[in-house]
Amino acid sequence: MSDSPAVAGNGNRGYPGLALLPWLLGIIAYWIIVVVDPYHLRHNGPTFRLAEHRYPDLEWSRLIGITTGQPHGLVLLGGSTAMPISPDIMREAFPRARNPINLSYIAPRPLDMPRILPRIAQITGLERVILFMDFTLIEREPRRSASGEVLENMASTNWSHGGDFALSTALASLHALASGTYDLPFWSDITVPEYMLGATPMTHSAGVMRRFRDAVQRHADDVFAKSTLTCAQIPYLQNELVPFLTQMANKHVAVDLVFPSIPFVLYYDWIDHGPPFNTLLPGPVFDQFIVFKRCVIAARDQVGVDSNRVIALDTKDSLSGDVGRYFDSIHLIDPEAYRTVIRMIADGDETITSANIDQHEADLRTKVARTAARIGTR
Amino acid sequence: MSDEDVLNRLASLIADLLDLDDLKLTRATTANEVDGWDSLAHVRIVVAAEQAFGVRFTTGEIASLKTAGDLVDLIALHSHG
Repeated sequence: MSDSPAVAGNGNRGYPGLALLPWLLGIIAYWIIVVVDPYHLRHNGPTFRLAEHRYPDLEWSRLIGITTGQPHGLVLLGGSTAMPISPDIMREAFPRARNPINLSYIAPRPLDMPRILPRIAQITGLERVILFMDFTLIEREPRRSASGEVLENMASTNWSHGGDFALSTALASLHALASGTYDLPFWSDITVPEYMLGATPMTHSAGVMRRFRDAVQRHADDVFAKSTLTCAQIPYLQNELVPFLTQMANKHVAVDLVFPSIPFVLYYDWIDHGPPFNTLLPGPVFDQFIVFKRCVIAARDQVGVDSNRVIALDTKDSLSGDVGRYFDSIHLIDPEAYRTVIRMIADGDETITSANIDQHEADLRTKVARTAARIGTR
Repeated sequence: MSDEDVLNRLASLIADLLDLDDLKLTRATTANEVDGWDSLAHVRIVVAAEQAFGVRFTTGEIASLKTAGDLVDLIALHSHG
């Protein structure tokens, strides 16, 4: 009979070798990765170049080790509100900065910072650091972002973290062996962060516009109500920011602490439709952002270095007052807007201090209320 | 309601919202040609048009609007639907 064990054994004679092929290829791929070391696990210096174009979002987080192992005069670290800022437009705004780099990733959390800030601090030739003060840094829970988990994994498991090695890692490493650049052909087509793919301005969505109109009408009376947020509830400030500012001061590196440009309507909208990350307290949003600003100013003053600035980009009418330049309630969609943002940082526009924060708050209230009046009333 | 009626009623609505006494709205008029029709005004106009004509627009429909005539056609489409 054809299905007797003896005959079946003869018919499968070539299969054991075939079954070993994936293992063999896996071992080869692994050793290519080991040789190239794209995620800088050996910590003994880069051996290849990175491409000029954007990398996939999570891949970029994995490359933080290699990027911080290279010299940079200017480093930007923020969340999704800073991710579209390219090194080219950083160079335009800071023409004398050597090899600027944007390390930003989605929704950075305070718990990520011990894996990132020390790497930034040891960068050779560093002259200025721009830290975006995204609301996700208000986080009180001991949670990491997805990128933070990647960094933690790499820092603690060294070469055994197979989950971070993918086929793309091996192929890009092979490319690095051949050309000296860690890259894949289809990565060069990536022009925006993944969360922006297919995004359209908010003014293209009738549903979003209805939601905004309803929000400003519903919260006209409580948008400026006091929250219960205090500086003590933002552990990032004393645990991460102040030590980093102190370290940078000792190295004579200037630090800009930047509050991103967000639309005025957000303060109404997020009372009911909060951000996907549970970092804000329920209730009034405007006051929590103001408290965060006051606390960051206090942290900056605690270190007391004149070259450190706190910059709030969220009062400019041409950005925050134009909902057509955003694709959701916090992210700018217009590339030119990101150019404006980085120029404003370079120029030190809208620097806020303990002396002018009350005036800043008053101006912002006026603009927020004016926006609401234009959207929501007859 | 004819398309011309919709256009006239829309013109009246926009003139009222933007506080314009001399608005000349034609089918070819674009937002850029109307004083004060910026993104905030756009939010107000679209939501007010939905209420005034008793219709609901979808995201794709709004994204494709180029002129006042497009908005009139969209309102007519929903009104007749």
